[in-house]
Formats: sequence, C-alpha cells, structure tokens
Amino acid sequence: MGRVGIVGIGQTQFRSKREDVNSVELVNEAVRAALADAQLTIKDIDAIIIGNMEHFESINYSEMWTIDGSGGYMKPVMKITTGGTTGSTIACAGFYQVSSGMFDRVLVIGWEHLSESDTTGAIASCSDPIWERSVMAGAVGPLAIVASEYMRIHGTTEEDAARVAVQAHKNALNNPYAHLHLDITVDDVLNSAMLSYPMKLLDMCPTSDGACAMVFAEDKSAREITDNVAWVKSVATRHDTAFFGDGGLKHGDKLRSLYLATEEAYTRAGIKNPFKELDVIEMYEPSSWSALTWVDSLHICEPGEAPKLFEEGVLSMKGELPLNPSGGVISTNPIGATGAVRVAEAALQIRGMADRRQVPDVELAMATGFGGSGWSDVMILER
Amino acid sequence: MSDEYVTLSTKLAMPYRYVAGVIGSKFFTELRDNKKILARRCPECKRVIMPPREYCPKCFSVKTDEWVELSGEGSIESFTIIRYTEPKIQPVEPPYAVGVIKLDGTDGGLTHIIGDVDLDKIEVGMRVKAVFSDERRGNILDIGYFKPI
Amino acid sequence: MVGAKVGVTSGRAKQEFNDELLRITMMVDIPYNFSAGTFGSIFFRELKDSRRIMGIKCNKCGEIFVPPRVLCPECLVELSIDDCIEVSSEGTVEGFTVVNFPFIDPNTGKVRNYPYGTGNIKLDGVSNLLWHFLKESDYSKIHNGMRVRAVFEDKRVGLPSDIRYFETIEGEGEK
Ligand SMILES: [Zn+2]
Ligand SMILES: [Zn+2]
Repeated sequence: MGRVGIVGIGQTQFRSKREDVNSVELVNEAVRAALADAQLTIKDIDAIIIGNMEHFESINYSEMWTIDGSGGYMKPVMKITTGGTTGSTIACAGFYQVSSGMFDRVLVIGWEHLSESDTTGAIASCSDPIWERSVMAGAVGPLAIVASEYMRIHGTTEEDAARVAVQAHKNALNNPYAHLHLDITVDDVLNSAMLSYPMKLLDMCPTSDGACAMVFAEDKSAREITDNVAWVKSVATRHDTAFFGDGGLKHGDKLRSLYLATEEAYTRAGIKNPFKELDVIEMYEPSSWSALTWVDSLHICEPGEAPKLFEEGVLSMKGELPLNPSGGVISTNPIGATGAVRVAEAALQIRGMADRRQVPDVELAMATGFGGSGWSDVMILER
Repeated sequence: MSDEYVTLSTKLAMPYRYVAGVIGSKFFTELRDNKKILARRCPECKRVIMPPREYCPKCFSVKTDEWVELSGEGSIESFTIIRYTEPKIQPVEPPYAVGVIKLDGTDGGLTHIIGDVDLDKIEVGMRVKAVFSDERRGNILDIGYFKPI
Repeated sequence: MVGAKVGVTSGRAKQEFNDELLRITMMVDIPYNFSAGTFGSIFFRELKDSRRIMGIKCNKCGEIFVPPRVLCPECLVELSIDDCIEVSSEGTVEGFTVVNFPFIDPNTGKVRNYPYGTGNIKLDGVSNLLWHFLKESDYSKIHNGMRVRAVFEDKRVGLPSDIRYFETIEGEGEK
C-alpha cells in the first residue's frame, strides 16, 4: 500500500448562526476553500465522502440534498453518519478509499447547520427510544455524569476543569476560524451558569454552524499536487456498547475506546513514547471535564494526572506537548465537521500553515474524534 | 411469561428553522413582495438556473452573477394526478395535479401544482402560467399553482 | 413530512448583508412504534405485572446486566430468555447530574421540565449501570456512593417510566 496524504484543507467561518448561507452553500464554502488550497478543480476529484448528522437539520438524505454544494454531480458520493465522530470518520474513510487504490483523489466534507434545530433535543433523539431517550439530555447530561464519576475517582475539583476551559479559549484567540473568541479567567468559568452539575456553561462546547473539507490523495498524485503534504501515518477506531450504563463497567476513569484506539494507532505508527514523540495533539474534547478523562486515556500520563498536566502548563502552547492550539471543541463545535476540524488542524500543524496557532517544528501530530456512546477515531499524521 | 411483545408508541417531534441564505432569501422576498420569479445565470455555460443557486451545479467554477426575471410562463414537461389522501402533508385536497414545469428562458424544471384546470385535459407540452397566492408569506406556495394559458 | 407546520420568519441580516434573510420554521412531528423485542418485553412485563427489575446473567462470564439483551457485551456470547433473572431494586449512585437547562424533548416537541436529577445506578449484584431518574433534584444533596431504591408507579404500563425514579435510602451508603 502506498502512502496517503492530505493535500488540501478548507474551513468555513464557524459561527452560532450562518444565516447568510443555506446548507448547500455552507458545504460549498468549505469545498471551494479545500480545492483552492490544493489548486485543484472539482474535475480533479474522483470521489466524495460527505458527513453530517441528519436530525440536526431534519434533511433525510442530506448527501443528495447538498450535491450542488459538494460537487458530487456524476461522481461516486458516500454519506457517513457516526455522531460526534462523523468528521473524523470521513477522514478515516477518505484514507480507506484512497488506500484501496480505487481512487487517487478523494474529497471529504463534514458539515452541520446546528442553528436549524435544538441541538440538545436532536442529540437526545439519537438515543435508544425505549430505554434511554426520556432520561437523555443531549450531550450535556451524560458528559456531566461522567464528570461526576471522574471527580469521585480522582478527587478532581471544579477549578481543575475550569483551567482546561480557560486554556482552550485562550488558544482559540489565535484561530480566526474559531466560533468563540473569549478572553476568560478561571473565576469566569466557575461563575458561569450551572447547566448540569458539575458542568457549567463555560465548561461546555458551543453549538456552531460550519463545514470543513479536505482532499486526500495517493502518494504520487499528492506529490504532484504539492510538496507540502500531511501524510497519514496510522488510523484506528473503536466503538463501545450502546447503553450508557454499560460504559461505566470496567474502565472506570478512562474512555475505553480512546485508550484502545490510541494504543493501536501508536503501535501501527511505531510510536513507543507518545508523550515524547508526538509534537501536538488535536483532541476532540466536548467539555473541559471530558478533556481531563480523555487526556488520561491517551497513554501520555498516569490515570488522574490530567489536571496536573493542565495546571503545570505541559499541554499549553508553550508546553512540552501542546493540546488543541485551535481552541478545540470547547471553542467550536459544528458537530458533523468537528472531528474533521481536528484532523484538518493537525494537518495544518504538520504543513506549517497554522499561522498564529502554529507549534514550531511539528513532525508528528495526532487528531482524535469522539462520539456516540463513547466511540473514538484516531489519526496520526507525519511530515 | 406470555408471548406478548411490548411496543412503545411515541413520536419524534422537533422544531426546525431552515435558513434560505442570501440567494434564496432574495428569491422569496421578491416573490412575496413583488410577485417576481427570479433565476440566476451562470457566466460560464450561460444557462439560467432555476431554482436560483450561488454556483452552477454543472460548471461548479465561478459564482452565478446575474439575476434574470422570468415571465412566469412555461410548459408542462411531465405531470401526475394525485388521487390518494395522505393527511397533513398535502398542500391541497386531492385529487390534484403536480407537474414539472419548464419555465421559459430557463434550464431545468420547477415542480409545482397545476390548478384551475380540468384534470383529464392536462397534457405534456401544455402552456401554463404562474398564479400567485393572495396572501404571500415568503415560501414556495406564494406561487399558488400554474394554470393553463 | 407528517404533521409539518410551516411558518416563515424573517430578520434583518447583520453586517455586510443589506437584504432581508428568510428562515422557514417547521415543526416536524412524526409518529413511531418502537419494538422492545424479546428481551425488552420480558423486562417490561415483569416490571408491569410484578414490580420486578429483570437482568440477564451471562452463561459464560457470569456477569449480570440490566436491561437483559441477546448478547453479553463483554464476551459476545449469545444469551437466551432462560438466562434472565430478577435483580435488586436497590443500588448505589456511581455518577449523577442535575439537568438545569431548557431543551426540546424529542418525545413531545416541547421544553422538558427541569431541573431534574439523573444518575448511573449500580443495582446490587449487577455488573453494569442503569441510567435513570433520581427523586432528588438538588445536587448538593446527591453524592456518588449514595444508596437509592426504585420507586414504582402504582399504575404501570410496561415502560421504563414504570420506575418513577430512584429515591435516597436515608442512613445508608458512603458520605
Ligand atoms: Zn454553468
Ligand atoms: Zn459474558
């Protein structure tokens, strides 16, 4: 199998409401930016993968509906819907399709027009209608329950979580695409509205409108397009069981799917010491609390050490292993695109194109996706 | 234990707000306020695109750059008569006709209701014109139906 | 769309857009009939007829899961209805939250009443957790390790809501 690389990246402006564009035009904005970055036209694209969570817009068959925007006219188009991981799954699928040898250049697009529905209600409608829908409160409720578990196991405080949110928002100030640009303090987070104990408003990600597109290309084709390619080194995915109550079974304080997916991705990439070898991580953290549990699952520290890493600045822009220079999901969350933004931002770091949020000399970057009842995608990129 | 299986009868109910965007909003406000039907011209292939779009779906290159006002007249390209009843989703009482109408000067057809017509006399190629609703609210039913000329 | 109610609202666009931008508002309201299936039906029948909470014991690893299901989530062994057993209606709160914000309940299309407490409850002897409502909705009065018991509805219809909520057992459990 030859190498596969990312040669074009396009993001829209992410905002709470993009009323200037319908969903087709929103998709198109990202597609156009990705094609321009790769200096390609739609004629150069062999296949298209589009990802979105249909119930946020109530457009069943969204890959058909958005075809004028995606450029899929008379091309093979595939739609992917895997919850929060949608955006990272389209990246994995782009890699799979090019790796198969069937296509040389695949355009992947993740998008969401979240302002068109009530996000929490729409997420609640994902859960099992008989068993869990009536108790489900979107993503906030279950993430808050996980947070309370983490607090109990590790004695973590609300200040520990608040510090994570402050770092994410601080990083987002360097990212012109980010939805929220908030210059806030730990006290601001602690004093923000209590959404769902212990989750406060500023602990939680926003709901954003926007899209992200990338062009994946096979080795030769990629090198013809540009000499600045973000090469895929490894990918791994793990899904968990559906019932929320099963999640707490045997993995206690860790996100089991992320723990196992990163382990596999490191092995495939030949990474022995991820903390030393990785230069930057773009991790899907839907809330400050989640970031603590998720960091504990990356094999870069002992269980319960995540709060200390944040407090000591190890994961800050100037730290040993910067986490989410983009501002992460805490600053921007267009659900079907969110995972794609993680991959795109990691690729920008590899390509040295991240402007004010660039980490110096990035050779190896990791992106993760999170969704559903605790699913994880991992993609490791190299220069 | 009995062999009775349990079923939960419920519903999925959610409010949505669909955004028309700049191009769509212009089309619908002109329709609502001035009874005008507007399309967009592609600068590359010169086709007049209806419904209007920001980019030509075929050329996919440069932005459509010109609004074109249509006469509201056109020809029936194909049609069917709806005779079944499906409560809640039908815009008018059945039986009624729905057709693809090729508006003069455009490429592609608009799917709409054919009204004020003897249903047995509708045929392909028949000339029709738009009849606007008296109460217009900025949606596609501001055109009430198309009727034979 | 079944039951679609259509309305149009408009707002003046901000910033660079001088023209009016339109939004179409629509209530999508579609009826569904969801099947609980063989194992779910056992759970709901026992709940309705006998106020019993049923789980399933894996015939390979011996772990007990609620609700009963066809596959053991740990060892993926196929289970049968003969593996269903009654489990305790008392347990311990392992994780909890109090939802304190408005959102649309997809079951009704309307804002769900709040605040309300929910928790991941480890029923005694059961390996996994059951996610359900807590009677208590003041988060300062809930803690992990707290002991709770199921309160059943007097009129039961064979649905999860037949367990009204879990109430605190005073004087038991960790503080
Ligand atoms: Zn054209
Ligand atoms: Zn088992």
